[in-house]
Amino acid sequence: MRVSELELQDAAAGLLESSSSGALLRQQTDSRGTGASNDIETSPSAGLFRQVAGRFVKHRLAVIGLVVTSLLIVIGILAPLLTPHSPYAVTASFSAAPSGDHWLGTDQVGRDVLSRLIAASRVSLIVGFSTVGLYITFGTLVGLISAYVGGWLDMIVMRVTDMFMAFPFLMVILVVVSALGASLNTIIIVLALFSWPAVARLVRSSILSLKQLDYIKAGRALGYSAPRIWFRHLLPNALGPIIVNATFGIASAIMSEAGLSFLGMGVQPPAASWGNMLSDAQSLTVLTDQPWLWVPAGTMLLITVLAINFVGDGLRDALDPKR
Amino acid sequence: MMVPLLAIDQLSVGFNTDNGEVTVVESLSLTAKEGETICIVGESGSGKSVASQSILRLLGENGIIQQGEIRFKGDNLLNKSEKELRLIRGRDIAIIFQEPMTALNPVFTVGHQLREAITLHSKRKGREATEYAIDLLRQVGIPRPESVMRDYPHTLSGGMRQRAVIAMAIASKPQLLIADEPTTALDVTVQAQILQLLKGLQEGSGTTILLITHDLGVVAEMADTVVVMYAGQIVEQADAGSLFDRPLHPYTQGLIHAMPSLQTRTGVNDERLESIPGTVPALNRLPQGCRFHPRCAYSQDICKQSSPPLVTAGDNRLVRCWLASLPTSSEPYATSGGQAL
Repeated sequence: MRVSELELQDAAAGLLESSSSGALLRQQTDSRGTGASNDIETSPSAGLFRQVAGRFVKHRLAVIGLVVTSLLIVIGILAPLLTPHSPYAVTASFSAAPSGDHWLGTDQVGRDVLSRLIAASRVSLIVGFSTVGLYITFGTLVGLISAYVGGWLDMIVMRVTDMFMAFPFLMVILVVVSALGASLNTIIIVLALFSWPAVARLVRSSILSLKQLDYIKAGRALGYSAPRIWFRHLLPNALGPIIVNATFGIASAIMSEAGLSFLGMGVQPPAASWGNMLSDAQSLTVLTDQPWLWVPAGTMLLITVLAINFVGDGLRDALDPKR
Repeated sequence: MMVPLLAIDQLSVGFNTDNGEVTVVESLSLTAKEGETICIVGESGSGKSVASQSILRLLGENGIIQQGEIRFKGDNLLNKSEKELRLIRGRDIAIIFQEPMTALNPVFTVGHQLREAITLHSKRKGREATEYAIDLLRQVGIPRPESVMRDYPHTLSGGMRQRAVIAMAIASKPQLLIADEPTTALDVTVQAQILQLLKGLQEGSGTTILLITHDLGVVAEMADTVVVMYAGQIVEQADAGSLFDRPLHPYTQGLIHAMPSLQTRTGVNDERLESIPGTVPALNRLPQGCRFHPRCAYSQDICKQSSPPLVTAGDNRLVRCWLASLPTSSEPYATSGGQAL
């Protein structure tokens, strides 16, 4: 037990190291190793990054989540190379049970389920990351400027977010998707459109308390411009909650996409998505007699969302300065 | 006559509150010559910090400058655009804040922040900026400056942090350094070191220092000219020597007697530390007449009815008290003592 835990931690450390921000870590250890005393220009966040990574690695579920998520990302990126068949190729055998040729069987029009499953992972990840990328960027900008400028601008922005949050989310999405037509881009934009207000509020509240602090006032007193204060001084301090929110946001965007696709409002066949694969299970015969058509997609969805949420939990604990 | 470095003329500053606009600083005037140290003294709520922050217009969204001029080398800072002001902030005028614990950004190293302050107002870049940063840290008396450059603020003690903050403030050799209670949050021993440091830096560069404090010990140590504020107004202004020798305003007398001392002062034999009864009035509920009269031992009828003007009382001295303005009044406070208080 002890040993496996240690191995896990090692694996996670390795993963962290290989991720893009891991470069900072290496840079610092290098400069320390050679004892270069005048190497002061190492990245300013390197020290904090080390601390956070250290705390994250202690969180077992989060590390497992990170490993699984990374695996999924690799699968998503390499999807065209990994699929045993074309996800769109129709074979002669419809709804065939798993066999040596089709490991997870074929669907109702004779496409290989495993290949579609792999192709769909790419769709889910694209939806998750693009949606979150879009709305985190927008929400952060809005919240930051709204809080820093204050006054009437803040008032207007907050009323707009109130309005967005008061809409019945799912119904509006259904209406918008049916009006604009269902496509991957539409889903991403619509999901982002309804997710930014929460981020804007989150960022606004942390900036409101941060901007009272002396170092922000001192920055102004030193003659720093407003954008410099926003992006160089305020944002790095508010980053923790934003990262955590983004991580959970990825999971929920993937869920929303699956839900919309299940209802036929999302990714349209023949393109594969875990959601539209699940919609096959709307028929009772499939649900009871052909589990290979829906169990794999459901399982993948479950694993993905759980893994990402574990990472989010771990990040939340690791970034919390009170721990 | 030469243009003074800083001339504040009839400055009034207010804040927007739920109960309407409240005036926090009223008709404040003062001038500072080059190389001079001016101390603004007063209790919390007397408007001293607000006055100092309005010089660089750092008051935030609720602060309103109601009237007056703040001239820096003859230019009215209140007429400048935010952009023009930004060039003055940090370069010509720098501020040191009270709380060294929060005056540095916790997510960046000391070196990073110092270099940022340096590169913003000078042509120094890269290695040159780093070397200058190390040099500044050495000037403010930080041991092992090279390694402190790589440290995060939370790893430094309060005194070290305040030194680093001072290093940032003097990076571009400002002509005016505003220090808003720079030693209040520090240990007494560290306090003395920081004051010594400021004094030394001033001697080297001829910087004018505007020191905001509530600590008369600091005033005695540093000041050339002292401005005593009470409830938003100047109540007394004098050079440091005469102020301590012969305080004119009852409030100043009270402050001086509320100061603990190891030596027995003439006329003060009891061991109890004296205090001024009452508290500073809320600025939206100021008493009629003299703002100090409810707490004043010499309060007369006139004090309750109308507000005393700020009048000249001897060489370079100003005082806002009916006792000093009325020619007929005796001077119960003219002796060195505080017997009456």
